[in-house]
Amino acid sequence: MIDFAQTLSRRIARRPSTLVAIAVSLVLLVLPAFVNAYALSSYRDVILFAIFALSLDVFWGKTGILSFGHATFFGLGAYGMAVTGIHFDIDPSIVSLVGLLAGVGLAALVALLVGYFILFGGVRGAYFTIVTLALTLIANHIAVGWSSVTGGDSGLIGVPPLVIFGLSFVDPFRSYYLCLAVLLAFLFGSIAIMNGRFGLILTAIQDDETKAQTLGYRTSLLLLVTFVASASMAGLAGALYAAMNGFVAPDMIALLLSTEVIIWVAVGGSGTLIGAIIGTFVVWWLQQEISSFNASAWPIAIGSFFIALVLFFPNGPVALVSEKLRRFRQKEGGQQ
Amino acid sequence: MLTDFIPFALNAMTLISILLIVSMGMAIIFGLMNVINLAHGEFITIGAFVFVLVQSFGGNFWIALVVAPFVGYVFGLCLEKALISRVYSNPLHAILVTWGLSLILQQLILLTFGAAPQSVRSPFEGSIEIAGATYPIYRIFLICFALAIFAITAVIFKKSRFGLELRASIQSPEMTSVTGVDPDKINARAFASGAALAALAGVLLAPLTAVTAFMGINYLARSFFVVLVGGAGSISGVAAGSGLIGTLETALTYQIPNTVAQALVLILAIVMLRFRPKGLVPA
Amino acid sequence: MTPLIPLLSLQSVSRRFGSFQAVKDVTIEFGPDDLNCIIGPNGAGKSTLLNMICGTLPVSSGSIRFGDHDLNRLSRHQIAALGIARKFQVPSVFPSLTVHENLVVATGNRETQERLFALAKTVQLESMLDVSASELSHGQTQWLEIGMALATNPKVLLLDEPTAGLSPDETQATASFLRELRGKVTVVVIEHDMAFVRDIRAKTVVLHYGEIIATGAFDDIQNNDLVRDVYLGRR
Repeated sequence: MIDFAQTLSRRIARRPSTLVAIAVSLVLLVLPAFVNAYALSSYRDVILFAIFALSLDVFWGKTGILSFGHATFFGLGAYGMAVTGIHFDIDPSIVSLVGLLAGVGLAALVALLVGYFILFGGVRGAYFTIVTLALTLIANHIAVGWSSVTGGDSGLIGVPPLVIFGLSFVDPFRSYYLCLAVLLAFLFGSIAIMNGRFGLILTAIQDDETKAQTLGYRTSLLLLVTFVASASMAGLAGALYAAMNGFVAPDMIALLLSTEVIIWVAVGGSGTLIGAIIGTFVVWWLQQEISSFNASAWPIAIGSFFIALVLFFPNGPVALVSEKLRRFRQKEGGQQ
Repeated sequence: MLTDFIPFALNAMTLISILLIVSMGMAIIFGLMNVINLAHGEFITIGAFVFVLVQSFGGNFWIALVVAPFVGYVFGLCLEKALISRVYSNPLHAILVTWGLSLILQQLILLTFGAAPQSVRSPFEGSIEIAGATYPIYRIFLICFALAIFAITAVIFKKSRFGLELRASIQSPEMTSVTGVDPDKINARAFASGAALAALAGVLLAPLTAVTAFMGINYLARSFFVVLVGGAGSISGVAAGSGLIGTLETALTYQIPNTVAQALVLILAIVMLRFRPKGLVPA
Repeated sequence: MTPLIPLLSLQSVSRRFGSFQAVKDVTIEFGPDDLNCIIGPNGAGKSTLLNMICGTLPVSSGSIRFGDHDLNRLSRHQIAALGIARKFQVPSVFPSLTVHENLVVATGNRETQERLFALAKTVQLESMLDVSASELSHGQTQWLEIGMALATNPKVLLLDEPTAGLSPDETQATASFLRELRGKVTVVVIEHDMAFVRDIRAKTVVLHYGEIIATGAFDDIQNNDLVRDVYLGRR
């Protein structure tokens, strides 16, 4: 037991992000005590977006390959849920469960197919980014064009509210805590996996894929597994979003959302996992402020952010701060 | 049989011409600098809006056809100097920067010209009859013009001094700079030429579509796939890619809805990457 | 007495690049747990030979056999999985990981901490386990890579110029731990530092313009007139 506590504390000391993750979890756990029901449902949506951002960071942050099409998977999750709930005559007691399965399954399947063809074709880096970008465009085309199923431009309303095993999640407190539980499970699950052997191997692939291959790793397969897991996570976030808000629209499967999720992760510092969640909350708050000026202000802000990101802090604002901190510490260490 | 085939061939040729002219600029920029220019669509939009402006000052299509590439070239040159030249070493950064640029340009155009689609006057009205099929004159002109531009670009690429330096630079940037050619200058001129071609494409497309701030995005993914399918950095690759994607999409549109056909073609392009990752005609 | 069965054998292996014959009709047999050296001047085809053994380059003709396996038919990771590990000329380790983490990634199955430590000790990095690989010196990086190759428990270890760019002290240290590997694993070293080859006392193959011109113990090689002419004579 003491041993365990020791290793745990040593681990935490080595990776301060775990400490931050615990602090953030505590804040989110007590949040409902301080806000009203309406605000709580907004926070619930931000938590779902944070799951979405986390899903991107699991892939982008850990493999170094940027997916510019992650909204495809969020959107597939949402449309899977909505179409199952609206167009099929499914017993109300299990419709949510079937919808969740359909949404997540659809996202996973598309990620598996696309991922297979491009990852096993040796597509990496910028090519991967651009193919996934096109994927979002394709998905958006279909969501808008196939109106008999997807409702076209206006989307679908009347998605059945979430009921799982007879437990209804219409109540804002319940739905908030359900989403938070999913977020925390994914967060600590992915922290554990990424700090373990699998995370090391992904970092190794990112450093030098050929070398990893000569060590006997099937790198394309490992990347595919990570990609599908990441897409399924995004799909689940989308499916929950559709059920809890009762509608889907093509902007849930659009390029702008793919872009925004990159910013959430980048603001928090890609590869930190917890950063994706903090980034989502920070950017969401910024968006409220900036969008109130003018409808064009937000896209311009995003655009400027991308340019600033590359020119001034290519490793993300967090890396800029932590790099400064490291230098500062080194200086102090040198003086002792 | 023939009467069915002629309209099909003309439709396919129209689409291929559009893809050709839209993709050439991207192929040059992508092949040479490994920069995937996500603002390429906005360069097309800018070309179309130059046409709108020229028309509002009493000018016509032909004046726009001369002015737009010039505007595109100057604009491209400025952008290259200010932004793009800093991101050559990192393709991902290039994607993010050009994407940021694209979002900003879209909104600036939207704020300046409003959301309502602009309409422009086509230089040719009416149709002519070809082997029993009637077809709009403007489209025939478009096909001829695009092929001519393609031929001229190909000749410049293959025969001129600039083209030689460009191709050498694509093959081996280090070696080229050793031989005394300034790679910065080559890059700047190539990027600007790509922008000029995109702006020209914008003028040509304007009479066929609704001119809006977001029109460029429709062509972005397709032109990227043309380059990817054809092979980055080769002019014949652009022809092969445009030919394949244009013919497929036209053929499919006869059977299934247009959006689904487009989606299907892009999916096929992804599948093809598994088997020919370097494209049909690798550089 | 059972006849010695070679572990890795090359039968009339050739490789052409266009009209250029990089490797010509090379036949070599490497016995189990032997220490072998391939020497030859620049452009003799040494690296090409290694590339063909580990599957990064297909042979133009001839066959490479490893036990019962025909390596020509296998992909790079299948060859790696059979137990043929390779260290590249330009050292390649994972710079974002620590020495310890590099070794962990290199082990295909879970290894005990003790074994990882022993491994680090073999390549003289036991005091640097938590140092990031990007902060190692050039020599230490080479050693880490050898350690990673050993971590896979290979049957054959291919080393491409392990002393390139090393200081004399580092070269000597490398030679001493390679000598200790004899009897544990088949090692094939490509080298052109003669002092080093003499130091490790390996069985030696001399390549010249893609052809074998001599094989045998280092002392025999040293006294071979042909070898002196093409190689040693220049020194």
